[in-house]
Amino acid sequence: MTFLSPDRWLWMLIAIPIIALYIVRPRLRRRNVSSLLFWDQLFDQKRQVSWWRRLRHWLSLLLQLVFVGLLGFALLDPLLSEGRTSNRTVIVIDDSASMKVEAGGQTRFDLAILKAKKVLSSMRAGDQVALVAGGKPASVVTGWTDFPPLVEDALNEMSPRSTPTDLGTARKIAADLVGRENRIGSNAQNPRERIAPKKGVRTLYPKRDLTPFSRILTLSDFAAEQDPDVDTELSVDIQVIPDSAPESSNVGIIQFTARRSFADPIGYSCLIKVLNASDQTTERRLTLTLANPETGEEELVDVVNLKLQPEETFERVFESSSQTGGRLTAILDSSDLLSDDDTATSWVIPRPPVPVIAVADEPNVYLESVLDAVPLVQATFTDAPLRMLFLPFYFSMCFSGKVQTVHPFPF
Amino acid sequence: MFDSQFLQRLEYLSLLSRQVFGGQLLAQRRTKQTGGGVEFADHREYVAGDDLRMLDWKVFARHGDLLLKRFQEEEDLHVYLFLDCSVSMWLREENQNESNTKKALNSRSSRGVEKARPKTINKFDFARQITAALAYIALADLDRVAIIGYSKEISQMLPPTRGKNRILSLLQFLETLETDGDRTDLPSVVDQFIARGPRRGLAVVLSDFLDQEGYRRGLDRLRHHRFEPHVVQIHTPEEAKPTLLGDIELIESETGEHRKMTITERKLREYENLFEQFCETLQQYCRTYGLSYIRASNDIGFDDVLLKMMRTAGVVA
Repeated sequence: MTFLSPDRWLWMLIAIPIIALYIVRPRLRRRNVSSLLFWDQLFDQKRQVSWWRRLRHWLSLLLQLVFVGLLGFALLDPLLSEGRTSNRTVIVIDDSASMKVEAGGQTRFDLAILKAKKVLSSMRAGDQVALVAGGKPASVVTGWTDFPPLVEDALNEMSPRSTPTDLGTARKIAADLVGRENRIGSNAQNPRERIAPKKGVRTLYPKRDLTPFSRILTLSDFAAEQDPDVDTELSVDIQVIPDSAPESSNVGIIQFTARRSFADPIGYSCLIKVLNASDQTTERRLTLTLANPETGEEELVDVVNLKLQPEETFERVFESSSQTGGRLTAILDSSDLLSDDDTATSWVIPRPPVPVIAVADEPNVYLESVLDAVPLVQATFTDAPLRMLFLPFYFSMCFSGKVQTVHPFPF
Repeated sequence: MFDSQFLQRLEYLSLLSRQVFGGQLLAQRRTKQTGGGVEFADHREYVAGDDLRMLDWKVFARHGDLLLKRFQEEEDLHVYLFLDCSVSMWLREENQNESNTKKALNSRSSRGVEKARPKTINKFDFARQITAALAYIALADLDRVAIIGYSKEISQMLPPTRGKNRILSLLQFLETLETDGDRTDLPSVVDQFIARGPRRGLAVVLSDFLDQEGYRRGLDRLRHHRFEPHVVQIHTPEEAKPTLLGDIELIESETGEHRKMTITERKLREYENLFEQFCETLQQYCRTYGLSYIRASNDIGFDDVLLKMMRTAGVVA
């Protein structure tokens, strides 16, 4: 037997004042009286058996010392190492965007962190734990360690990302961490399954004779997986965050793409899909804006008032034009439980202007009107032929009514 | 203990007893036995063998009847003073400066129950003073006085003595008395006393009578042997109205037994009731058998007790 906290032996010193108080207990005031006749009648004392009178004092001391001993023993945190196997736990914690949903004043991710810390606090000496992030891309946060504070620090540094869930990869990573030698093997075909009364908790336990005992604990809201794929070869704990049925009152942008128009040189179109995932009809306002990245000016593209029935999807293609392009942003007003899907951003690539130098001996009004009418063309009219020597190779020149491409270095 | 001032008070009490009661306090009561006294009692007829010197010749001369004169024989009254010398009588009232006792006294005084008590002597000294006073008065009346110090048996005894000039030796005897014994056994003391064949007389028992059943049998035996018991119950104010409060260990002075207890105000009131019931029982016993009963607390002077006895004797005798 080993003690995990041997420094707490000091608590045993409590016994010293207890013993001292028993030995040096305050004496009662003594008073001589002529007779105890009346006092005995008054108190009607049943004289106790003499041996019990002698023993009860020391028995009381003994009981108190036993209590102090048990208390000190518990504080020492004894560990019965004989016959005990160490546990290995991989905590897969979902840090996808859906974990940002607030539930009871805390986000799902906060609840998952709390549950993970609870698991850490229940670890005993020799137990090992690893931490895997379940957001996309899934990754190992901390490898195997038997030092829970290290994992706790990693948990504190984690935050939900704006990425989808990738629990499949995360579990695969977890299974790789556990390793083949720790798999259940021949006992896998008959795992004992227990459905916990708490909703959303399913636990598969291996037989007790399996050593070492390894398990994968998945903490996720399973927003993207209706039926989590459980690897029955391993002991898998799945805890759905939150424990209670999730409150579905979310309206979010589920698709937002933008592209340049093939017909219009400066035109672009964007596809937007908004889903009402709540149980009731919801009214929202969708605002599309285009921000110029160079000037920072924001241009209002469109505003649409939405009235969506439960599970209804709004889908529309917006078309507009912009030569400079920029960041196209769709915003749903009045944020709900998940604010991440209330905003979507896409980029409209800019169309750079094509500089054109028109060299002519005489001004040509017709040519100027034509060039000005063409989008993206930045026409310059000149009558100095020598300037063509300094033009870059990709410039086009137009003269005498014929367009030719000229090598920039004609010499 | 018996200084000159004490003797002066004894003399005053002796004179007072004669003036007030005309010698009816203890002695000066003649026996009804006829015999060789000087005081004429009655006549009876002469029978052969009677002493001719006792014939009333004047009656024979006048009436011709042979009558014999009879005289009341004077006999000294024997006064036996039973003084309890058990350890419980030596108990001095404990110091009253303890904090909780003070508190109790203050609380009780504030309710008007009890005032601050004067410094008192212990019960044994108080009983010795009363014994000395009674003996002085008896000796002054030419009675024979004997003092029996007892606890579980007769420890010391002053044989019957007579004459006022014996008072000093009597006081000296009282001064030499000491308390001893782990209990009081009045019945066996009376048996021991009766076995010595004393003459009948007054038996004054001075004790605290804390042996609840034993005193009855002892007094009964005195009565059955035609002694005339008088009861003087002596107690301390602390015994009647204790001021103990809180956690305390009480030790019985005679047996050394101890009890640990927590005394509350309610328990104190119950104790006072018990003690009063005990005194009432003793008084009722004395009233039943026509015995005089005096209850004396040692916080008053012994002369006050004597005066109280005189008044009681005046009524009873």
